[in-house]
Amino acid sequence: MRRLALIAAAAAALALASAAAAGTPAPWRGATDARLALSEAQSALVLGDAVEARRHVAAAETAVETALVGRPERLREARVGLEAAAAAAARDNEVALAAARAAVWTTLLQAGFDGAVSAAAAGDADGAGAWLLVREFRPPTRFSRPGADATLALGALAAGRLTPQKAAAAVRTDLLDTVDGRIRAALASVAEADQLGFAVRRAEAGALAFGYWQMLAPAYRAQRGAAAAKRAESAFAALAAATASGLRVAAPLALAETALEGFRAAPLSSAEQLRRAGQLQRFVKLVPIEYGRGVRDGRVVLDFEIQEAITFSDGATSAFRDLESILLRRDPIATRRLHDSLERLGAQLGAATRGSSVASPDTVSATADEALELAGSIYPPAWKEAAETADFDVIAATLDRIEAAAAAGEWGQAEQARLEAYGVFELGPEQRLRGLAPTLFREIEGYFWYGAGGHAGLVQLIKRKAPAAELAATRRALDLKLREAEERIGSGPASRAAVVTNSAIIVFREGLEAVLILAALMASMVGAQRRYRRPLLLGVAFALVASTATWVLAQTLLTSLAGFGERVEAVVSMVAIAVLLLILNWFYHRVYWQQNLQDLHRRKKSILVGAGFSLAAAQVAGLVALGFSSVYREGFETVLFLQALTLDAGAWTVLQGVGLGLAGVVAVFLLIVALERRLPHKKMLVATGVLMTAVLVVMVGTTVQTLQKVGWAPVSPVQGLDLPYWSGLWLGLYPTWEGILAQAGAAVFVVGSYLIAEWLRSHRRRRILVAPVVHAPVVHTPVTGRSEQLAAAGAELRSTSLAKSAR
Amino acid sequence: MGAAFCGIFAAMSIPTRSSVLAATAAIFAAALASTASASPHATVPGTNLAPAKTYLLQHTTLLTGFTRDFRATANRYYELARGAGFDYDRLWREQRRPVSSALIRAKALWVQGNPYYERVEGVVAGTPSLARFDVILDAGASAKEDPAGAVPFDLRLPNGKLLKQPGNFYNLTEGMLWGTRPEFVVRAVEADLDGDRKVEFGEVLPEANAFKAAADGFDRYARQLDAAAKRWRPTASDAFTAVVVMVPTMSEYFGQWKVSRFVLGSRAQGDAFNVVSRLSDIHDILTGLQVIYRGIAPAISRVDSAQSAQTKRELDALAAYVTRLHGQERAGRRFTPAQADVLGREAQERATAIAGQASQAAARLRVKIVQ
Repeated sequence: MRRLALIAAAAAALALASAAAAGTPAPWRGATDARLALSEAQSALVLGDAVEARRHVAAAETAVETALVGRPERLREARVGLEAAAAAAARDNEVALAAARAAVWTTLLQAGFDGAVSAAAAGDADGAGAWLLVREFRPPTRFSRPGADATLALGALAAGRLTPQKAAAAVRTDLLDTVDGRIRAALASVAEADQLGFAVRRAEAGALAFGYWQMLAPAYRAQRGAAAAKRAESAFAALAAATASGLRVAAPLALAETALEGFRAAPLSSAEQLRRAGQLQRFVKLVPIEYGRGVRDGRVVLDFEIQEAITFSDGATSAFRDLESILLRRDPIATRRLHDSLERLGAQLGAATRGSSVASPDTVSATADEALELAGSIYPPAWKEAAETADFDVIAATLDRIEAAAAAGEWGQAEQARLEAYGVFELGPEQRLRGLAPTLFREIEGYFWYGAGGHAGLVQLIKRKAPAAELAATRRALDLKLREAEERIGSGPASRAAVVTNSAIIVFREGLEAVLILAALMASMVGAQRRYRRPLLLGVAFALVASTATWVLAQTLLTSLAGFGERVEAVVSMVAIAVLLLILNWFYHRVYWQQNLQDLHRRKKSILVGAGFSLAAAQVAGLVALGFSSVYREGFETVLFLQALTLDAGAWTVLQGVGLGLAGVVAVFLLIVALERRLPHKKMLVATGVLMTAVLVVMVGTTVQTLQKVGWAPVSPVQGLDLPYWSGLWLGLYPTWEGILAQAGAAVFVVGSYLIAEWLRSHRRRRILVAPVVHAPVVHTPVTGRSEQLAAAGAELRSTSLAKSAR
Repeated sequence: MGAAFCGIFAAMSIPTRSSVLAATAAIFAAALASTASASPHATVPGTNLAPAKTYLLQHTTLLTGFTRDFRATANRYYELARGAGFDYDRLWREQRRPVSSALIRAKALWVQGNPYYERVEGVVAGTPSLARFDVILDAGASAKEDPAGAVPFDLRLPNGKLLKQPGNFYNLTEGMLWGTRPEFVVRAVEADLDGDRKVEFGEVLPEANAFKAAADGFDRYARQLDAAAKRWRPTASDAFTAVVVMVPTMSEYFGQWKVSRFVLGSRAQGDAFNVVSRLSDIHDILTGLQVIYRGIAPAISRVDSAQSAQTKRELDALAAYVTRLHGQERAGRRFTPAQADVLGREAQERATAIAGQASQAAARLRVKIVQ
């Protein structure tokens, strides 16, 4: 019985709770209903139906009461507006109704703002989310999409990934930024409506501006002081009064606009300031580059390049506007000149695209340089090297071009954009990522090229003109990784141990190829061949000196040199391949010549004596070149990667990693030398040859990839061939026809060269064998001298062994 | 390289092999240290965009039917003009009845065919892989008006003349049939097409070569859109992009409505949207967007049921609002510019709110909005 009573009580409590929950509308519902009802009331009045208008105002009253439950102060304010709206509807006064409903709506917005921020601060993600639905939004542009910072912050709060304090700050910043944009739009609407004589819109915009001002007032007061806030309040109040009553608005409008000049409701964080500063620099630099590609002989020849220039110009202007208040405080004159330069830049591009006047690339370049110089003169020291922070924005904008070009069927443009986007990544974030997060760097490379994470790479998709959905899927995955990379770079190295480890891995991996060649060759240089070790080591020494010099140069020229990284690697790699091919050829033939073949040995000697000095000199030069190119081809780029890591973690930490990596490389070197020495001579030579051939094939693959990256070789992906990223990393094997065929060709060349040499050698032996053997005449005397018998036997033995060898 | 190591490895003694294995394992473990990378979602759970594609294909089928008939009518007119040696005075004198019949039929087809595209404009213009057809068929300007936003095609006329980037096909053909593109109309001949002894707005003779080329091109690109629509595999990104990008475009459409004949009457100077009201187009666009939104609403509900309900309410309310206005206009009501300004801005504000709400949902679902 008692149990039944308990169950019944629990069920009743549950039913009450459900009823309570169902009966409590979310604030967004009441706010939305109120806004729609007031909108309908306005439309009804416009269309001449005052009765309908009154009905809608009454509905709005009910909705507002519902929305503002528990908010008595806001409810009182809203009721004042609703009474004014009811009176306006009764009098059939469209202008008064417009002003009244704007006042009610901004009261609801204020309640939403307060509710969202306070609930977030209390850790109530659901409550904050409910209030956050009572809000407005900025219209999107190319570089500022509708913000979702507040929404995402509440999601993170709910998941326990963000503290209430930070979530509340994010919500506040997002909403203030929105209101900042809306108040300026409202002032612009007042001006336009006043000019066109649209009294209803003018009244509504004036009332909205005043309502928005009240939301911004605390931030304004905190930044500019109470006196300035009071003056601004007066200006907005006067404007609202003027617009509602049909008075002239020019004076209060000017005062309101002046009050907002240089004001930013949600000041940018230091990181955001740096980002905007970087965007301004980077985008302005890109404008003349894009423009120059699209203009020839005073005509626009590639319109899409001009459009891209305009995009970057707009982005730079947008970044400048966000920084303007800060820059004005530092140097108002220079800031206004910078503003004029950016306007002039935009005008030049606009005139070119309209065809009215096509400025020369030099003119546009000069304007851009002027803007950059002015920005540099105003920027605080911390901002001066901020350009690289904009890399991810540039990459994103260029990736947008890929999708747009692909959608338009312009696959050539899509590939061009892909190379550009990759170029920006390679010159910027890649340098840091290689040291900070090498796996992430490889994944991003995969998305640009041959695929990663189950998605095809962009180059594959563009080559086969893939459907938009596939491109979009890869783009989404790439965007996620780029965002991760941006956060990773922004947060710096995870730990000292991570920096040391990554530096060591970089040096070890980049040095492995070179060390294998050197170790294999040097192990085989024994006896009389020891003398060839010196030129090889001399080449290595030159390369180490050159790499050190590059390190020193990179201290001051990092950005400039980064652009040449892969180009230098490409050139040096091709030299290394050519030299290695020659050395391999010489190596195999040296092996052949060491066979115990007297006549061939004699012939070799005569050739050597005849060619003599020049052959030896060529061998020495080849070995020096091989030693140098093997080490320096990786040395240049490795130095740049390590420099980027040095900026993050300091030279000493990086050098510790370098030491470890070099120790690993030396250990591999000694290991190979020791192992080869344990092998029987012939096996050792065979192992050496196989090892060098393998290294050659890998080198050919990575060199083809490098040539493709810098645009010196075409890219023809092998459709349907998916290779794991480590195949490229360790084997130089990438899924393109150029790479695979080149590697196959190198292997065939070397192996074929050996087989041809073998065939030639056995052919010559056969020739020796089949040539008539002139035996010494056997003098049949009763007394056969032992020496004569031995000579005959020797001749016969030689001819027999020749025959065996020939087989 | 692996083969090389195997060769050397095979020649080693057992203790040596063990040492090498240990060392190699350590080196490679360090070198290959990595974290697992998360695979992005291929689809967003809860989305169902099959109805959106069905809706699109239904309308592209209707559209191609319209352009086929339209082309046939335009070609009939061309043959009549050719028969008269392109002497339009003679054409009107000798072939008045068949010419009137052809042109009246062409106009009727145009009015009937206009909504077929407008109802899917939201889908087409908002989907990156289809968006270029919106420029070609409905949104693209002429090179003279706006080089940056001009259509990506030229028109070769039967007489060999080339029209460079002449504007989108709806605008072209509307202008040719109703005279709002005077450069494509025979001004010397007053053609009382309906025989009421008055030559009113819209009673003109198009230049036959231009008319034929435009109709032929219209049909060709409509069929290309139909083919592209059949290949289209809608994604969540397409759907969210359509909602976010298209809805705020209403401000431009309302701006066009405010200066059209439907508001300004004879004072209207624009060469477009003078036959079918832009309100009708806006209504049709919103209908299409409602279909799309129904496909993504369940996905949004999974992360925020309140947000989903709010956006649906707002979108339905906006569609109803525009329907009401359009109904009043069709009933004969003419709005003043001031009234059109209030009503248009109201719709624009609602549209901006819907786009913002959809952006929040997209961000929570990690769906990319392509712009």
